[in-house]
Amino acid sequence: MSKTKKKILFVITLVVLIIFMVPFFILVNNTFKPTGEFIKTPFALPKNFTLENYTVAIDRMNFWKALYNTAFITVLTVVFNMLVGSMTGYFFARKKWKVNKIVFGSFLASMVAPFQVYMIPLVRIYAGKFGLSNNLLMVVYIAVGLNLPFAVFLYKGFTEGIPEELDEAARIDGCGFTRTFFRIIMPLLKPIIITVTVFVAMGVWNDYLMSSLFLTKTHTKTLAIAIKTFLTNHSAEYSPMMAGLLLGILPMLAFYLIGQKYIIEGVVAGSVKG
Amino acid sequence: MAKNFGKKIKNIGIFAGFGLPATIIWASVVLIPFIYGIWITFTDWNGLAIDINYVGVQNYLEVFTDSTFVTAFFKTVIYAFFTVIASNLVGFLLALAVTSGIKGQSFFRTGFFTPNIIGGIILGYIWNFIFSYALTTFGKSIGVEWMSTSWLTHPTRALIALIIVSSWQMSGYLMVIYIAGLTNVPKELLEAAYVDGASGFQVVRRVKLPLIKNSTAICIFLSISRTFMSFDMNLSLTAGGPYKSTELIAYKIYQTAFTSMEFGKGQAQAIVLFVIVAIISLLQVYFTRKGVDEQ
Repeated sequence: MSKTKKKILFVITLVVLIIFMVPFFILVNNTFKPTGEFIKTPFALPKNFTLENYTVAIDRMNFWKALYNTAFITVLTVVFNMLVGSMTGYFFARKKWKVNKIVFGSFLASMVAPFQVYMIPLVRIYAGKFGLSNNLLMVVYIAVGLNLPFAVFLYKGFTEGIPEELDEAARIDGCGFTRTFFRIIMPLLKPIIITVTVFVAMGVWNDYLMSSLFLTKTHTKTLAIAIKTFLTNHSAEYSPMMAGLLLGILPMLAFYLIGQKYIIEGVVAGSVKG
Repeated sequence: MAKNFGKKIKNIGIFAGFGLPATIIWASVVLIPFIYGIWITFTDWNGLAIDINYVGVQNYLEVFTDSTFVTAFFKTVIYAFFTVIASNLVGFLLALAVTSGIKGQSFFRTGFFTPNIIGGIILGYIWNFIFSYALTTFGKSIGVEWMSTSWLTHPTRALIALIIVSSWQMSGYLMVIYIAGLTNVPKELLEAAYVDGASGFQVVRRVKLPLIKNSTAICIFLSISRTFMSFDMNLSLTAGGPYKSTELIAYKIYQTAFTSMEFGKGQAQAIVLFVIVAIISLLQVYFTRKGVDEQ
């Protein structure tokens, strides 16, 4: 392509990107206006600049508590998923026993089902029979389970690419199966750990449906649920609501700006399942 | 004999440490709920009644005779059809632009992907404000009738709004998959085509498109199954309204189960969705495997 053509294409792409981002510009701009001003002039820059919308939103959503709950669930889910997922992936990659093949096959088959299939039974069992509503650890447990097949699938595939001679060398040096995994294999899994972690973390952080079925009290709500509650239960506080939406975006956006390469890779890794 | 026995004990130990935790968690969160869910579909359980009666296949029959579910199904098909076409088209064009050697490629990639790091609930609400207040103000100021009232209060326009917002989000996601395909197209092939006098459009049609068949298949099937499972945005953008005109399948299942408290029927609807998504996934595996063999 000629230089002029490239320049034209650059300008076109830039214009498209700006159009793409318009909803975010409108959102950010209006969080600094009183609600009345937003209704009258949603496109103009703020005339009566205010930060009050943020204090209102933080208060109404119980923002700090919701942020803590979301981080708590996400971090624990990611850590357990990584530990259990990578160990099982390694085990299935190295020990081709019949049981393992059957279990792994079942894991794979279950990846096809949408969450809606598990939704009602999970509520019935864990909220109903065990009475574990509003228990953050319960949500962690379910999130770990729902993300396991995908994680094991990726960890197993990656481990199979690591030569088994490494295991044998470690065994000759006196390492058992467990030590070989933690000392030799796990450090080599770093790239795939990043991919799986990003994918699971994004899914759990942004999850609304599953967590909303279990977390209904104010002190257990995650960000997505707190935002939903705020926007459904308060009418006409439009500017604070938009401030709330922006507050909900900011933590993820900060991570994205730091590790965009890994995040894009990790999120798209979801498309390889199946 | 003793050595074999020792090895067996050791293997059981390894299984207990490495295989059992995952198997137990998976069984309790995925397998048992799945089987239990199938049992629920044969009952009239409503979450409150103490005695649960078996009703045979009645819940399944009701799924297909319930006109609101059938409507939700067709609405989902329409929504999926337009969203898949729009998001794949935009995603592919963006990928072409971003891999053409222009400046700031990774900046554009990051920018277009941004909606995908934000949850559907938040995105839906942002657009809710756009459609309800920003667009109406704009419409009134320029005197365009169809933009002066909120799209979300008009059945057809609300569905179009849903399609627009979903395509807006998903095109950046599909773009990344198309980029992966396009960067694998050998440079020599493109150069050879240009030397032979092919136009930019011809190169896309005759060289790039045939070589990224696999990415295209992944993108199309992925977008189909994602649109069929769409829930968050449906909830925050239209909440199924106006007058339940934009209830998609996943949203309908939620309503049946947790608003009408008809768990048996809701679960039967969920099983129907499961069958649809499973068929899409199997077709995907079939087509992408075939694609691999050809290369």
